[in-house]
Amino acid sequence: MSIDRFLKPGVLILCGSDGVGKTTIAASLAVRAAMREEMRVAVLTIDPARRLANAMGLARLGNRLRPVKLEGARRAGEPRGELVAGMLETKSAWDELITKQAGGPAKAERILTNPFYKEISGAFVGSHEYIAMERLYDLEQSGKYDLIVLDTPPSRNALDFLEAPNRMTELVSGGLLGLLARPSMFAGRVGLRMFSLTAKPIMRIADNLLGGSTLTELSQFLVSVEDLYGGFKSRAEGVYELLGRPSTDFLVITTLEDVPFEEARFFVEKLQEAGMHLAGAIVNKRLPSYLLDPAATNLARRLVERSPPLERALAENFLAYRILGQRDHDLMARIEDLGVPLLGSVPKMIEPVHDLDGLLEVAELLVSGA
Amino acid sequence: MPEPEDLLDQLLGKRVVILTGKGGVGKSTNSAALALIAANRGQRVLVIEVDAKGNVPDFFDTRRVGFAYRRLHKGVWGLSMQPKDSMQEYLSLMLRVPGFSLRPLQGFMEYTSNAIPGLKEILVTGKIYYEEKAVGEGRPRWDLIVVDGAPTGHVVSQLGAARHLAELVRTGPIHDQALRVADMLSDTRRTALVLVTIAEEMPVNETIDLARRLTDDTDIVPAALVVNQLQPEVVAPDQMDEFKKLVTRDGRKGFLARYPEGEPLLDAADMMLRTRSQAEHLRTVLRRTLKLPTLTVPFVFQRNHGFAFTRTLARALEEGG
Repeated sequence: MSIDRFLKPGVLILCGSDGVGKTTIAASLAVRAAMREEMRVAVLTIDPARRLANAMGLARLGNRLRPVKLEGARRAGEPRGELVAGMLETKSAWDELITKQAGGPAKAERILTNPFYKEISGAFVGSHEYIAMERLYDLEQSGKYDLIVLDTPPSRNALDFLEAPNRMTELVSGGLLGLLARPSMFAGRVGLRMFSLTAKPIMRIADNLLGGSTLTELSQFLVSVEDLYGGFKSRAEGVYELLGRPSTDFLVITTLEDVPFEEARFFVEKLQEAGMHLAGAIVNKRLPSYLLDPAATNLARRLVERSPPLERALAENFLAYRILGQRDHDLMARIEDLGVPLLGSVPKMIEPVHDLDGLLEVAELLVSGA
Repeated sequence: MPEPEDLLDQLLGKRVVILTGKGGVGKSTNSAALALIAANRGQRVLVIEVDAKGNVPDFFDTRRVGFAYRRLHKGVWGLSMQPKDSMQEYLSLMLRVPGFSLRPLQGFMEYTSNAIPGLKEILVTGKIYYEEKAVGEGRPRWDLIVVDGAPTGHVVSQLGAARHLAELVRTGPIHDQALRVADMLSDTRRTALVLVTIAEEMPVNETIDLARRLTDDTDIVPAALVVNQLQPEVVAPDQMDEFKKLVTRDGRKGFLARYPEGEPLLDAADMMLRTRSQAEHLRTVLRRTLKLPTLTVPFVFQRNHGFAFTRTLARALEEGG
């Protein structure tokens, strides 16, 4: 089964451990899709990899999507489709979202300048994942693109992005706001009346711990974003609907190393639990099979025993690499443990990809090396 | 710039060493190796794992630990951060909240910590602070605390959280405690932040980006850089040219004439040489941009990341590459 089957209208989301090469593969697939099919393709990446931006002929990737000049590629002839590329910048994406959703510039300004907002949009774990889903939803809703390729953020919790919209709704919605600051309760010290009598001293302690005005300021912030709640909620629902659609495919990327491999298994399990449509797995950075060549191995073992220093070094180097080749081989033999079809593999590239042709080559290797 | 040996001595002479880096570059293995070196030199070492992964004990061939520290090896103890336990400890030990109100307050604080960002992060750095101050038998409980820290993407918000929280919460015990934690983290006599990377493009870019963000957003100055997984020297430096001749053109032909089955050996050498030249280029970039004292660690061609691996890595670190 070839990866080409999944380069069709819809959404393609790449997941995998940090460092497995998701961004490069996302860009390669997007370029291939746009070269071969009459599609408008958008690729949204996470890594601020300037080299990859340069490879696509862009000075740098920004929050705004920019067109990629596919004519620069020599390998595949005339491009049939179009490609735009962008990067996820959490802070500016948040500001844009608030500006759009706040219902008026004055309201937006009040939120954007609140100290809690500044903290939340920049620092809070999950805000990156949330905004990635936001952007995806936005792009899809715009109707401007046939295929959207998304490279997911390296999360501490592998699948934070699946939970992010719900968590955000929870945060902005009921919970804390109800506790602290329904406008009707907003008299004097924060929402004490919401609490039962027994809970009162707790609030006092909390207020004391957090220092004079913190809870009040926090409640003011939550009041100011309360209007956003409806928007957040319906968007979160929209995101989940989009993720679960039959035309949305997930790809799991792994290398043949123990940690990423285990992580890939975990991804597959979680995505399946969440009812997402898993297209399959891609193995990246595969080592050459000549490292396990039996005749060469025998030769190397002979040469390390007795030979001039240079030949011995040559043999030692081979045997050292062979250990890694063996690991590759063993994990490849266990590829079925992932529980999804293997769609292809890409050999380890020593020199980084630096142009469109390089990206196309990666995609071709992926298709041919299935 | 200090010699590797002095640099290692300097790091082990701190109270707290925090390692960070992109996922997959060897933060945890290097944390374990650093702890082992210190323990072998007679120090009592605590390893704190910040990520929930909790696999540092694997590197000492021992079972996983929770929030209560446990001995992993002679001279090495370990604990891993657990959000619930750490909130409770934070409230009771650090903020001295009386026991009767602990449980309901804990619930409330867990809730609030979703909205006050620094609060979650300070549980981690607060714990480091608490252990740094801990006393046992009339002296500090630990000679050295090694922190297997958050990856590059999160470490700035984590380490910067104390300072931010102190600004956001302007009075009261949380404010005071946050200030003390922030002061410890930025005190270069007590704390060293070590950036770990491998000589590949993406991790190097991320490391440079991290250094910039540390300067922009925090008052923490990294103390050292570890470049991990470098291709080891296969031959003495003065023989390198001869070696290159052996694996290119005429040398290659000659070798194949003698050993027709030897092509994979030449190809593996070519792969190694190309990897090295990429790495050399990236090391120059690192040197020029970061200007940090650097430890280099050779690639360990060993499969299992158990104690045997940790020991080899520790030796490599001590030799400074």
